[in-house]
This record gives sequence, structure tokens and C-alpha cells, in this order.
Amino acid sequence: MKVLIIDNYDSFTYNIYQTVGVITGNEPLVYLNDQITIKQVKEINPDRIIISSGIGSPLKEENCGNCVAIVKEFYNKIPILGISIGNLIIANTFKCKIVFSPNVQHGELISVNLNKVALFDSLPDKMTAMAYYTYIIDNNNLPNNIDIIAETDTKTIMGFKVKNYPVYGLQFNPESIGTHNGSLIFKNFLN
Amino acid sequence: MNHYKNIEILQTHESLAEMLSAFSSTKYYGILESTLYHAERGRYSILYALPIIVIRGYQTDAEILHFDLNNKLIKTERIEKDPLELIKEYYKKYNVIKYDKLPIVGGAIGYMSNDLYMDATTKKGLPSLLFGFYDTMILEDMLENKKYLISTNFSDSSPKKCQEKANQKKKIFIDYIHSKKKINFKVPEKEEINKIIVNDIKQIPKDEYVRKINTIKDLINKGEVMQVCFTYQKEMEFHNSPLFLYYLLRITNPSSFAAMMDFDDFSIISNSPERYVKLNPDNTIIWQMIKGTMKRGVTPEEDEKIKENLKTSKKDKIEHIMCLDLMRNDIGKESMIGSVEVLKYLEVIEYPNVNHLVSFLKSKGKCENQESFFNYLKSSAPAGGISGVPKRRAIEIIKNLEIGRRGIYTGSLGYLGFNNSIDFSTIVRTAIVQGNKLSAGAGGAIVYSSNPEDEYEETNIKVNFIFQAVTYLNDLIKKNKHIAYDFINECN
Repeated sequence: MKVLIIDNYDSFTYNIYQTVGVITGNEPLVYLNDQITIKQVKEINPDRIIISSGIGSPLKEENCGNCVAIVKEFYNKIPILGISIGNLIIANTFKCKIVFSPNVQHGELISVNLNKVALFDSLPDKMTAMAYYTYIIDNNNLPNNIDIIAETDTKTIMGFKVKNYPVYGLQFNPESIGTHNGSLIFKNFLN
Repeated sequence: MNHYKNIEILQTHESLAEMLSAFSSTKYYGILESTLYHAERGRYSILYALPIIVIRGYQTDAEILHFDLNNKLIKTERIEKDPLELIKEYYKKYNVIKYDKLPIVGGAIGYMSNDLYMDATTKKGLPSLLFGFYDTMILEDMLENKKYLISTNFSDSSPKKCQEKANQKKKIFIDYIHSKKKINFKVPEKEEINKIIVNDIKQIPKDEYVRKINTIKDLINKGEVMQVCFTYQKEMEFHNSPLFLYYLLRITNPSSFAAMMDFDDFSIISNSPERYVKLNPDNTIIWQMIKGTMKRGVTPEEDEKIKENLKTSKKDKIEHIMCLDLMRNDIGKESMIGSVEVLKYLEVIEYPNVNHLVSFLKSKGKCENQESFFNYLKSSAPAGGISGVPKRRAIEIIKNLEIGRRGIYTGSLGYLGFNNSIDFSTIVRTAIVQGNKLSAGAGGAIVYSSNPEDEYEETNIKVNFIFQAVTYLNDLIKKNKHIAYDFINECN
């Protein structure tokens, strides 16, 4: 299986690389967000795309590289998983409103309630996850094509799926050492 | 190239530190010592002297100094080349000994400065990297209580000639130790040093420090960065011998990675608790992560309480996990898929003067050590623990806010062993002595919940022991001039 990881100049990307590599048995391809184009993605023809976490506002173009264009081009062709800023980039592309989180979550162990969806197969209803973020998806006026699949007790959106397409976003970091059973999520996504 | 290696047990009751002074009249000698005497946290110590060559690297060029058997400089070459590439090239040439029973049987010993990675464009100061190549050394195994005299030789001449040369060098090395003069210096009691109150440190004023930390916290709150390791330099005049300073610090602040390195025109005295990276001859890599510090308790009960506080401190845990995720990332990039293992996770370990939160990791490199190590430096240095998360943005902020360059501080020191083994510590809790100037860096990780006043206090705790020892040695000179003078004059 060929997995393409788009790196938003993050410092956790190679944790995804290792986790995915163990599952698929081969090395995923990693490209920085401004060093990969739609044309290149077509040439690579990956089975899955993962968009890494990163830093700063997902609304600023310089923080997203070519991610938005790639999501727009491939959401109906290739399964995509966005993590942290990757999650927000996808959400923003699908017209969700992105807002400041009321409290900064930089390496916080949070409790996440999971819905029964394929991405969370064999995971409990509630999991402990490590989260690194400053921005979140506004849970008021969500577009109709977005399904919430994970949230905190206080209703902060921790995960979503785009209706009818295998496109997912996770606000927390499943690749972190602090997230329990995070690799199961990757396994489900790659299945 | 042919090589010859001889390893023999050295029968002596003298410690390596005692033998160290025998080389005080030579250039580029030193010791890498585990002064903790703890099998798990430091089993081996190395005394080295009389290099074959020394490479002093600057931003884009390097000097290669060639020495004869008696430490006389015979030739200096200037080479226009990236110094890291040059070291790699020379290391490959010598890294030919197949032997894994001891961690080192000859090697290149020295340091790589932080400037090498963070600020390679600035003007020339101390070398950005410096390595001596040592074919003769004494290795002490503290667990087995054995000392090994190691002599190797590399040359194009016949194997017999190599053997002769190695024996000749070994004899010179031992002669130095036998002809050692007695030093008239008594190391005081630890308690005497610990109660010294330090004055006259030149460092950033508290209000300016607090302002800078608040600037970082603003950036964190805006989502620009998650963690920044902010550091600054403390400076003091120093009028005594670096060797004496080492003798004091190894008593007052024993550590896993103590070092005293003479570089002719300056020296490093390190008391680092932290390993940067270790690569074993079988290409497995050991990584250590220290993040989170609290002082030791005066009584065992108080110490237990502090340890519990450290274990449950949210702020320390955040700092640590964030850096550990970053470290796993850096390791993951250069390691074989599936080989990254966490050996210990978030453990409180006590050190002589502080308690630390520690994690250990293991991995297997994608290439041979001599490739893996330099690939890792290229892709991932500086380490997250001394820069921040995400690293790229943290480094920009550090460059903007820190005063001056870090220089050697937060670089790494250690060896590239000729038997495919590599071991480096992170240069923290370290004094750099150049002439009558001594500097030591201090810093800490700033996260959104950091309290600037507490951080200032933490940075003061971390290196106060160095300045207490410096104050003691300066006072000694003031009060009792003759004590150290003979020795200093002899060293210089």
C-alpha cells in the first residue's frame, strides 16, 4: 500500500511515518506541503493521503502549502486523513468555521468520546489522547456535509468525517506517545 | 591502510582524574568521566592525550593540525571544506577496527557547537567543531573495576611497523603518567562549596528575562509555537586553572557525562547529566531525553515529596511529552521502520543536585553508524530539548530573542570511536574557559503555562554550582597566591 504523508513543517510527522510504516510494511512517502503539487500526487497515485499537524493558523496560506488544492482535487478519489492543522485545513476546505480555542491545548491529555464509525473500529467509546492545538472547528453552524465523529465532554469537535467520502479529520494527535491505541486509528484508516 | 590494536590491563590504584594532571603541560588532552560511579548511568571513563591530528572547524573551512609522538605541532593545513564533511571523511578513514568488547579503542574526541546547526552564518569565534584523533588512551570500566591501556596505530606501512609505532606511543603515554608532578591542591568538602554565595555574575537582568519570556508566551498563545527553549549566558572572571575547576565540580556535582577538555587556547569543563546520542557497534542507537527539573530535598522525606511533585507536575509532563514526541520524530526519520522503542517513559531519576524527568529510547539506524550519525545531525540537529516545538519556528524565535550566539553551549561533546561506536552528551551545565573569562549557559523550556519568575529561578539553580566553585577558586588565588600558581604556570 502506498501512503503519501504531507508534512506541514511539523515536528511530529515522522511519528506518523513510523506508525504507518509498521502497519503497511513499507516506507510511506513524505513531502513538505509546498514541495508537492497536484501533478506529483497524480504521478505518485497513492492509496491514502495523510496531512500532518503543523503550526499557526490554518487560514493563512503560508501555513498550508498546497494542502487545500490537494484536498479539493482528491477528496472524491483518495481517502484522506488530516491531523491537527491537517484536520483544520480539510474542515476549512469544506466551509467549516475555524476559531480560536478558548484554552490553548499544547500537549494536553484529553478524554475523547468516539462515535461508532469505521475509523474507530475496536477502540473503546472513550479514549485518552494527546492534543496540540490553538485553533478548533466552530461547532455552531456546521455545514450539512460534515459529521462529527469524536468530541470532548464539553462538545469541542475532536474528529469529523465528510459525508459520502472517506475524508477524515482528527483534532488530536493519534501518533503521539500520549495517545492510547493511536495506531489502531491508522490501521482502520489504511484498511 | 593497515592498523594495529593493543589492549592491556593497567595495574594502578590511581584514578583517571589523578592521572589527568600528568598531561597538563600537553595540548589537547582531556577526560570523559562518569563521576556518578553508577553502572547504569555511566560505566566507562576515558583519559586521552597526545592526538595524532586535530581538526579545528569553522563555518566553511578548517585547520588540520598534525602532531608528532611527543605532542609537538609539526604541520598546519588549511582546508576549504564544510568541517562536518571533513570530520566524516577522516572518521571513515579510521573507523576500521572490528571490536565490540569495549566501547572505544581509539577515537576522535571533541565537540560540535550549537552554532554549527543554529547559526552557521555568523562571524568567526571559537571553532564550530573541534576533534582530536587519539590512538592512545586509558579506558576505565567502573563496573568491573578495570583500567585498560589502549594503543592503536594506523598507517600505510607494514603491520609490523604499525605495531612498533603503537608500542612506542604507548611508552611515551605511560612515561607522562609516571613522571607526573604532585599537585599541591586539596579539594575541599562539598558542603564548603555548596554554601558559597555567588556575586559578580554578568547575566541578563531579571526584568529583561521576564519580558522575553512573556513575548514567547504571547507567541505560544497565538498558536505560533508550542515550546521554546530560551537560554542565556552567565559570565564571570576566572583566575585559576580549568583543571582545578574540574576537580571541584566532579566532587560537588557528580554527573554521568563529566568532561574536561583542553583545546590549547580554551577549555570545556562539563557536568552534563544528559546523553545526546549513543550508537553501538551493532548500529543500534540509544537516546535519552531529560526534560523537567526540580531541586533535591534536604531530607529524604522532602526529597520524596519533591519527586512526587515532579511526577505529577502538569507543566513538567507537558514539556517532557512534547519533546519526547519531537524526539521520536527526529529518530523516526533516520531509523528503520518499526525499530523505535521506548525503553523508559517519564521516570523521575535523582541526580546529585536535582531531580529530573527522564525517558529512554532505542532504535536501529537505516545505515552504518558513520552514515547514520551524520545524516541525523544534518536532518535533526539541534535536538528538540534545546530548541523547541515545532523546531523550525522555535529556532527562529530563539535567534530573535536570545542575546548573542550560544556558541558551544547546547552543542554536543563526546567521541567517534574507531570501532564503529559513537557517544555524545549534550553540552549543558558546562563552563567554557577562555583566558580569564568563564561562561556557562542556562535555560529552560517555555510552554504556555510557564511562570517567568519560576523559570528564572530554575535557570539559576541549574548552573549555580559552577559559579560557587569558580568563586571558591578565585578566592583561593586572592587569599593564598602560592597554592595554585606553580601549577597554573606549569600548565600554561
